[in-house]
Amino acid sequence: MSESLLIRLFFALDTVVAEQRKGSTFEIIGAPPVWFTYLFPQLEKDNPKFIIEDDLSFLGGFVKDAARFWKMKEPGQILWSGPWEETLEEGNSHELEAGAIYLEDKNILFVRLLGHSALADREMIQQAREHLLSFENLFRADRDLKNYSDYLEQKVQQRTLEVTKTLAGVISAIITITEMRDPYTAGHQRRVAQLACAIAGEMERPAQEIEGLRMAGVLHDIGKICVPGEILSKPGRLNEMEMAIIRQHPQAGYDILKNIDFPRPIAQIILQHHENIDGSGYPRGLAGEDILLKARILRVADVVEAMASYRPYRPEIGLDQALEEIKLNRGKYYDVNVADACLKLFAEGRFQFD
Amino acid sequence: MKEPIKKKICMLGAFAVGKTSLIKRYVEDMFSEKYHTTIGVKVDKKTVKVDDRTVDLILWDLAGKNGISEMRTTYLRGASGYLLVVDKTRVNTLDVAMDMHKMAQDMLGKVPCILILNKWDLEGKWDIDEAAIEDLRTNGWYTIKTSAKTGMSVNQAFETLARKLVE
Ligand SMILES: Nc1nc2c(ncn2[C@@H]2O[C@H](COP(=O)(O)OP(=O)(O)O)[C@@H](O)[C@H]2O)c(=O)[nH]1
Ligand SMILES: [Fe+2]
Ligand SMILES: [Mg+2]
Repeated sequence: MSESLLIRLFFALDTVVAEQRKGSTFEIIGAPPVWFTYLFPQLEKDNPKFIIEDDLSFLGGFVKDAARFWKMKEPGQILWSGPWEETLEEGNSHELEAGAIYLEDKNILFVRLLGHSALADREMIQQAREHLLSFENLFRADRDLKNYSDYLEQKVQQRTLEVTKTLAGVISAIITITEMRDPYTAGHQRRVAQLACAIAGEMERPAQEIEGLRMAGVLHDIGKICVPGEILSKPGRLNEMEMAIIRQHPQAGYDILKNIDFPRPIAQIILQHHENIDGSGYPRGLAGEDILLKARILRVADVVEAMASYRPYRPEIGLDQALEEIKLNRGKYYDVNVADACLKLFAEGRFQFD
Repeated sequence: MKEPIKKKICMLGAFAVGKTSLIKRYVEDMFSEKYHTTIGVKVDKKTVKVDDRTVDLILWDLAGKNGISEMRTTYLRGASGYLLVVDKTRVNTLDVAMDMHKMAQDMLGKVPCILILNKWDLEGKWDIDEAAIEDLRTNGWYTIKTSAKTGMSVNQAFETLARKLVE
């Protein structure tokens, strides 16, 4: 998990990210936005440090709570301050919210400017949290599937698990934030995972592979974190440049996950989830068997879910048309066996999205 | 000239008694009939002179519905005193105020506080009678009658508290 990515992510959200240096001194990662300099007028461009000495201010009070929270060293967990309103410029007050997170052995404080949608945001965060719980359960299920052959092996596994858990926390945080921006991604990823597993089951793939597919499904659009929110929810057609940005998301997802020691090639699957079997997909233009089977399954599940479900920024399409698309481009974009398994599931009424 | 000192003051009281309006009147000298909800906590600052001392008042206003359950410990922490606001036209707001007072005392100990009888301008609608107020006074309460609408005694309320804080 590269640090720069996380910071890029916070930037996209108009959020100040600062690392605790010593006691009440914090150093901003990146450049502080103008609104933040109203809060801390002593901030300088070349020395982005600020001191929260005033524990009577809202942020000062919160940092006291945060200090206790950081001591618990729970990676990926976020302590929210709850929103507050403060007069920043002359007469203009703004709603802000702070959060504390413990990441990569660092005590991170972030402060964000809340938009008009502050309340809706909170609702989404709540939903994302619930989603995170199920994500954590996946990791547990994964461990149970492992066959520990001997003590040593077990030790190694344990270590891996610890590492994985830490990273899971970081990923959890990323997911939370992704979903804050685009609530439709949350449900989408979950439902895609559900359908992909059903297709794999129909194709009689081994249980382990299905579990891997579930994980990849839940995470497959994680790279969208690098796509600006306006593009994600833009009504109507996207222009060339916007398309190009969207198309980076499989690679971005891969970059986030590649360093994680997953038991299965989750990152690879995600990298390939927009490849078509005729070689017309992206980012690599891979064809046929060069694309992992799990990625071919994910491709179909992704298209069906995306077309079948409601999005506020485009007209409704519906499940029938989604299945029509799979039929039409079966053997062209979509793997024949995968397409057939999917169509069969729906034709026989054996699958329904939650 | 002595160093300026900072003091945190909290507004306590039931929903819609006029906490936000009192701060708005005090800080900006404005009033609006519109009930505007803020989310979370609102923090304002105002500098006052108490004799030769400069006091930076940090005024904490809790948005939220009926206070108590939503009042997080962060809200009260570090407060030097508070204004307990009652709506003269709603007798039940006095009970809420007393509950909050108990809570604040548990957390802060005995710090200066003043009981504010707000909306004094709504004469025909008074719901709390003089006898009840007299009772409070004999029980040691310091009370001030205010109106955020007309501005009556609003400065006096904050400045009396400020004076109690530096004494
Ligand atoms: N007539 C009158 N109305 C007031 C007074 N103070 C507040 N209000 C009104 O009472 C309502 C609630 O006030 P607000 O300050 O938002 O209450 P809060 O919930 O305690 O912050 C608003 O509609 C105000 O305009 C007052 O002194 N007189
Ligand atoms: Fe995708
Ligand atoms: Mg209010």
